[in-house]
Amino acid sequence: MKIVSLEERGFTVELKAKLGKEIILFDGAMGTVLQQRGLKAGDVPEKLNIENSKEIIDIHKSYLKAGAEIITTNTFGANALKMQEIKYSVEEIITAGVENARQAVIELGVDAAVALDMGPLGELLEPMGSLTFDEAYDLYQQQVLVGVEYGADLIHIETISDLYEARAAVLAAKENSNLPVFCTLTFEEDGRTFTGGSIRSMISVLEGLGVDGIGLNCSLGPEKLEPLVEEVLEYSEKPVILQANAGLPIVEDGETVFKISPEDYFKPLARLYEKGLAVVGGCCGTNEEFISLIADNLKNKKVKERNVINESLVCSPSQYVNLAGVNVVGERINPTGKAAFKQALRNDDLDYILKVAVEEVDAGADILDVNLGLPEIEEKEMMVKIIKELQGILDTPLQIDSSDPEVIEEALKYYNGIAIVNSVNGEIEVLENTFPAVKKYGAAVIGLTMDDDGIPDTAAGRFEIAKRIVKKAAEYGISRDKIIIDCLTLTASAQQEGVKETLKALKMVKNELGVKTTLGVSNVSFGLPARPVLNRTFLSMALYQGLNLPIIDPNDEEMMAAVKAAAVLNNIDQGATEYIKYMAEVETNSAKTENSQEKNKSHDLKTVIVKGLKSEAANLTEEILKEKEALEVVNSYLIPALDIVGNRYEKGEIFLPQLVQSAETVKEAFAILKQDMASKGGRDISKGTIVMATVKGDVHDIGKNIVKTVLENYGYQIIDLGRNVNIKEVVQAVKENQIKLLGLSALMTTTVKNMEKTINAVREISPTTKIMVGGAVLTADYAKMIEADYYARDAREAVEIARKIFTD
Amino acid sequence: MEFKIDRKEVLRYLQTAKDIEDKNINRLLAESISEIKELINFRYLYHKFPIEHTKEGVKIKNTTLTLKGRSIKKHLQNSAEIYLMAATLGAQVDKKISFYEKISVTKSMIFDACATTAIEEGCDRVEAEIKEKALKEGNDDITFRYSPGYGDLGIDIQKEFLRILKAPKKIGLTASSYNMLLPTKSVTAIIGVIDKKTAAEEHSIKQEQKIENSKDRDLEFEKRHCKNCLLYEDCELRRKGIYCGAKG
Repeated sequence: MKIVSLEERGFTVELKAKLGKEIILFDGAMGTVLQQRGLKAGDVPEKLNIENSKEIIDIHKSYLKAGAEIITTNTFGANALKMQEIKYSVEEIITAGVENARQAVIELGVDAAVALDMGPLGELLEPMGSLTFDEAYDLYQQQVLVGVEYGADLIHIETISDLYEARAAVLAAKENSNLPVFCTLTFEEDGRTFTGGSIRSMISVLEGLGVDGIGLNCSLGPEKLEPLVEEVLEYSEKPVILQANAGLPIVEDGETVFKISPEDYFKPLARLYEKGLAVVGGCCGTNEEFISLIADNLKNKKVKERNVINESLVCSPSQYVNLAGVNVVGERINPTGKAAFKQALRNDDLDYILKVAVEEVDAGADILDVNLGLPEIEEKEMMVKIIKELQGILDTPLQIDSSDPEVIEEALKYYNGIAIVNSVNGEIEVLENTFPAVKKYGAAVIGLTMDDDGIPDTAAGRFEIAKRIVKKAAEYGISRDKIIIDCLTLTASAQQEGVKETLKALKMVKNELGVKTTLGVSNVSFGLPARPVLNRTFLSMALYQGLNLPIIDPNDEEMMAAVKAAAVLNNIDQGATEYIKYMAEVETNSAKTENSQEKNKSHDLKTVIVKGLKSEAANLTEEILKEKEALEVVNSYLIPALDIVGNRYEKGEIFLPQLVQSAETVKEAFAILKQDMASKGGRDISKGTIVMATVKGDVHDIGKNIVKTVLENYGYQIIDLGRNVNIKEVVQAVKENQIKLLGLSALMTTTVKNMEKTINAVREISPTTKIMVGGAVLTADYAKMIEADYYARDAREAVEIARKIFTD
Repeated sequence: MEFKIDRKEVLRYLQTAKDIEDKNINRLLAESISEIKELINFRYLYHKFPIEHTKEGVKIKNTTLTLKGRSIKKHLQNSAEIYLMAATLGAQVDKKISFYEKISVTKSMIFDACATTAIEEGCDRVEAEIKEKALKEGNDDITFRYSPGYGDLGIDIQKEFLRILKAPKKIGLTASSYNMLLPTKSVTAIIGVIDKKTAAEEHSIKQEQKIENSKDRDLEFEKRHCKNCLLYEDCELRRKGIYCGAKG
């Protein structure tokens, strides 16, 4: 980190002292003012820092004269991605930008701070886009380093609509400077960002990262933003910032104009000031008149005190869970004792794990525990991969379950939200190794009431450990509302007297330490008959004592029902609305299951495949396996059914969605057969392993997934690297698995180049690997040009190619 | 904006028969249509610019952009003004497509086709809105919407195009380093305004085009030109029987 002496940074120390106590005034718009002065649409405003510095200095001066105490450099888009299009480097643009602002301050001889302005990078981050979190971090880091070097007083991150991007920017700012960091996001009227982020999640995440000011800018006028800012004022402890547009832009005679007058602009600001707004300025369409009017009314005024609602939230960008209630943590993402899950981890079969997660969410889990501890896999790498995949498709907050501090730190870095860390125990060394990361990312953390000496027998002993954890956490600046204590469930068959101690300890830590509580429930019943009833009863007892986070299998309807019922009886679920809703859902689901079981009787597996009745394939396959060998099932059911489907498709009697539907049905049957073979220790039925990937830059994946499903049907094992895959990753997978056939997909002319590069890189390390390519823009000629071995027009051609390779 | 999402259109994108009888597929289709309606966050914007036909290409005044290539030149030959438009279904639709890719490829295909139908429907309405404006201003007609990447108009103008409209800030629409629009279910397009003076001329061109298209798509034409186009497989215009104007 570049440590600068804040005393030497002009106004910075004074600013820090003033922040949150007296109103601080920002400047207004830069871009729209430049456009009014003749900047063409589509042009890059940052280049004026060098080409017309006088104009930029003029604008800065006009804001300073109006009363601004912070002026922002003209560096909104000064990142290496956007600056590719002009002849100047990031360093040149930012240096000039900071110097211009400083020049304005010096010329007028006023007390004002220069904020390094950082806007969005202009490209969407993963999972929606192809820019990775690390790439985003690096781009912001470069800006921060230059800005700090050339004398910025603070860092202002603004107009961000993706919370992941905000995280990358804030981390880059905090890890590479000791300057104050402000961050404001852009919201639509419905209180969501373009990528679906909510205000509450923004507050949790940015406060967790330790920004100095938090708020909203751009998008709408102050009146429309008023209710959203009120929400920030209500829930955020940090000084709140608002830089609104001058109303909505209106096009008049081809010119974009902002209609609102400074007076009308100020009215909502005056109301928000009364509610505690601390930092104020303008965005698009505002000019020095707006700032001047705000200065006349608010400059140097005391920030109004406000009552902040303090909550313990864990969240994804769009969904949050208040830990104060009762919320179910799903325990199914865990390889312990599950052969199929272990196999999936070893084979990099992420889809299997994602399906487990989706099932848990469908069953009603509020938070998902993610445990990937398996000695033979790289836990850290796998954890990051799974977290990225999970947050790409689900909004449910995650609980990082690992005992390795490095895995935890890495997981927290890439998790786009506030996670729970599971777990630490009372050993000082464990606490010291884990708490820094918990603090840095604002995570919540589970503390187990055990230490080097094991689990204390008595409630008092466990309470002591909990106290130690809370105390140590405080030393790291982790507050009690981020702490969840697990008093540890003992087994009734072995330590019967201990069960009650757990419940007693739970009540003690909850009442006396004011922390949240969690318990893994099902341990209690080991070694006794009719386990479900013991589990359920123990769960109900624990809930009565104040359990917040039962860690259970959400697919267990009885347990879920017990949680819902307790919420009614404890007067938490007011009017039993949640309970009634849940029970209605359970009823419909069981009706559905009965229905499909009914159907089972009349269908044989072949018909099920031909008709594509995916949900029935697994049960039927299991039935047949009772009488027949797996291989026989393949030969006398699956293959003939696939042939029928294939022929009908060729003849045009059925269409692609139906073909794919049948293929997915076969896949279900295959999964059962594989399990059967594995349990009997039989030979693998795989005909060969193929690596498949959609190349770097492409985020469309459906075509490749169709080909993958069909290839799997024919008995090939697929290592699916997903989409937007780095060349390095492809090379590594080919090398590690000694791959004979690689399938690559590209959908745009612009990404075919990456396909070619990938092919070249694979050739270098494995010249004998055959490569087939496909995708919307490819043709046989194109494939030849980039030196692929085969062009697969569709899934069936891919099967033909695979047959050729693996029988030769 | 309420979306209709025409089932027939979705089936056309799925390249199936109009009256597919598969119960499962029809159920997934109905589900997808109602789900996607909840997820669409349709945002669009457009702006009118005067243009100048120069040697270099079609220069869009007051901006940095010049549109290069024969096909766009022909497309705008009767226009002195154009609209640049951008529209998107938003990020949640993309997220759901990714979700279904993990759960069911069949559903993801169908959902994806619904999304394509929806963005086209949205754009049709934006186009209609632009047309109404143009007619009110006394013009005769507008051209169909022409997107970067059609014909020989390069896709590499995508970022500049979006910047001119401030689309990233205003509607959350961006382009990747590979010029892919993100969120993916998005469109950028150029629409020419045809004023009364040149209308007569255009009329005869349209008649010609109509004749070309009347034979249930001019197969000969497709063979000669469209087949060479990189967008052949995915071309929405070709599916509608419209020819973009590029000589391959």
